[in-house]
Amino acid sequence: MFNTVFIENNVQNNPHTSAILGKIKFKESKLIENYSDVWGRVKKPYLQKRDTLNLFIAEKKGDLVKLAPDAYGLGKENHYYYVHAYNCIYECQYCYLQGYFNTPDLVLFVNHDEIINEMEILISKDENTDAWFHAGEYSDSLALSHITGELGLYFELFKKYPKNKLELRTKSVNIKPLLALKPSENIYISFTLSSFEGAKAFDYKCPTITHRLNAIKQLVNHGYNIGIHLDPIIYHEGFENEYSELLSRLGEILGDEKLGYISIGVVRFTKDVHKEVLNNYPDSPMHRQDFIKSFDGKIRYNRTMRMWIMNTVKKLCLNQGFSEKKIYLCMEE
Amino acid sequence: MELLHFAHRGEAQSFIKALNLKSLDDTGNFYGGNQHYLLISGEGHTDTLIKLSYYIAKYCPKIIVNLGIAGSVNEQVKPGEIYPIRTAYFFMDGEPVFQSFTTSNESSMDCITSHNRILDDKLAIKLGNFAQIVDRELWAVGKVSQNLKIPFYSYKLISDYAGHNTQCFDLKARALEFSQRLLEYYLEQTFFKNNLIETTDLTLPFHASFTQKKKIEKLTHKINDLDLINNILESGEIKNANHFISELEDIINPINKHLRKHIERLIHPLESIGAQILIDKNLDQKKIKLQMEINSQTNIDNLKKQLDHFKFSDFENLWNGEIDV
Repeated sequence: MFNTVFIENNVQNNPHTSAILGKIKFKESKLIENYSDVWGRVKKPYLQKRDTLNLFIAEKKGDLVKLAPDAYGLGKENHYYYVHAYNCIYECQYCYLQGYFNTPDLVLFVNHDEIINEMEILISKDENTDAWFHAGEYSDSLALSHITGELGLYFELFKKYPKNKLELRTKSVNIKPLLALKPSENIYISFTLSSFEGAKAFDYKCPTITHRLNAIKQLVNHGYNIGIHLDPIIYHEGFENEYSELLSRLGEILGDEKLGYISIGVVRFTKDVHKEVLNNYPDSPMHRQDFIKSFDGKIRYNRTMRMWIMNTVKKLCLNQGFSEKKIYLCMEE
Repeated sequence: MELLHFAHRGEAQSFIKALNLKSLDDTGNFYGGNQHYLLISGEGHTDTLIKLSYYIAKYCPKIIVNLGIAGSVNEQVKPGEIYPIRTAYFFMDGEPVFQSFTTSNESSMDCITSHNRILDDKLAIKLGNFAQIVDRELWAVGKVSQNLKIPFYSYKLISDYAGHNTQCFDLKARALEFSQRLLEYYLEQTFFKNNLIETTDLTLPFHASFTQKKKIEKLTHKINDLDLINNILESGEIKNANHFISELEDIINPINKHLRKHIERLIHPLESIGAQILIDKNLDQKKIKLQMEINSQTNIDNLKKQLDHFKFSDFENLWNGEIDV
């Protein structure tokens, strides 16, 4: 699975490190002082993740938990995200990671006790008594959780603080670790979904939508709260029918009572990411889209188009019986 | 024409003979034949940058192919094998350089170009964190190729493991053998081009300005369906370049047509009395600019009448995505 595993000297003896090494296949391993001496030092082309993906096992330094941007989540509470990993094993054509980092190589941070400690410090502040904490900003939060083994630690933390919420964002169907844990009212597993055809066209190496829906069904039966991210929506003729079908299938397995929220967003890129997408996927139907350079410098549809697409999908969600108060537009001004 | 690039004459000798290449200038380092140019740049990235840039600018080859011997910095990459190279990195003054260049090869082997010869095992290990192979020139070939927008390929014959065991004299003695092996390998390769519709493939039956032609080129590349585009042109319904551009935009985004009609309906009453309405073409800004020449009371009366009927909420609804599709 991995070409080379680079291990920071100071995490050699971390129990998470040995647990990870015991579960993965790799060609060779090397000890290094600091992961940033190698990771991201040179511009490694994104698509080389397909055949020469390296793994770095390291200690996260600096800010372990960060304040999320506006419109990150539902409601007026504070939203934070924590960083447990960089990069993702999946490959989606629109993924912003391809322009965000200089390399597709994975980093797994193993100092979870320090991350959790920082979360507790934030929770202790008055303004954060009901704050949200999200995983999955720079990586899929479940895809490798059977290897990294840290989920139980975070579940314990949120048992202690029932007013705070944890969101694990994913496209993965790797739910065995979740089924082995006890769900909690303040823990949400949120799935990013495209239409069936959209996923075939753009989610290059990802579990299919059918498999993701099956995973959602199992988690609902187990008692988990579910969040849904319909993001990014990429316009093409017939997208309404496709999302109608998706939401119909979703409605069969997820009732409004177990739904935490649905976020709706249309495709958008920073200039750097867009350049990478053009380069990495020159034949993608995404290049036939009518994008403009918008008010914030991002490449996206014009305002009317964006609002029309999002409102169309929002109406489909309402038609399916999901509550309006649980639906929000993601990352819109 | 292909330009074959080598650092050393020893590596190039078999190519010069087999491809029947003749010297093209007094330097004795540049050769040409029916289908190939060949440059011997000398060792190191600086000479490569300078000489390759000069000869590409003068002779305009379509493809650059770098060939030569290189060292291994990975135990699994064995001496004696030839590898196509995927990405070229650079190491100088003890640090890797951020910029990299990727060849048009299908491969999983990367090469790091070193400013200095690698005669130290510790340094070889450090370079091995970034690539499996080390040489002295490839990154420079990549830099020139990217700057001049020419695809480049590279094939390296592994002569030894880089480090304190490197024996430069032995390598020189085996130059003919290496050259011959590279030649045999090279003759088995083929190189490919992209197939995008060029605007020259289209015959426009109307005048188009430079800007319009650029716009048409961009849109036809996006659609990439020559038959469809030619059918539109041959339909006889296209009045001019702007009309053609609208038709192409509608193919890319059918919602565009509805949006345009909606805006036209909104602004027509004001435009019919001579006002000019300006709306942000990206629809990012929720504002309308109105300009009108007033040269009589009639203009003012007409404007007042139309403004009484004009509702900003109609524009707001449009801005919020409420269009009939």
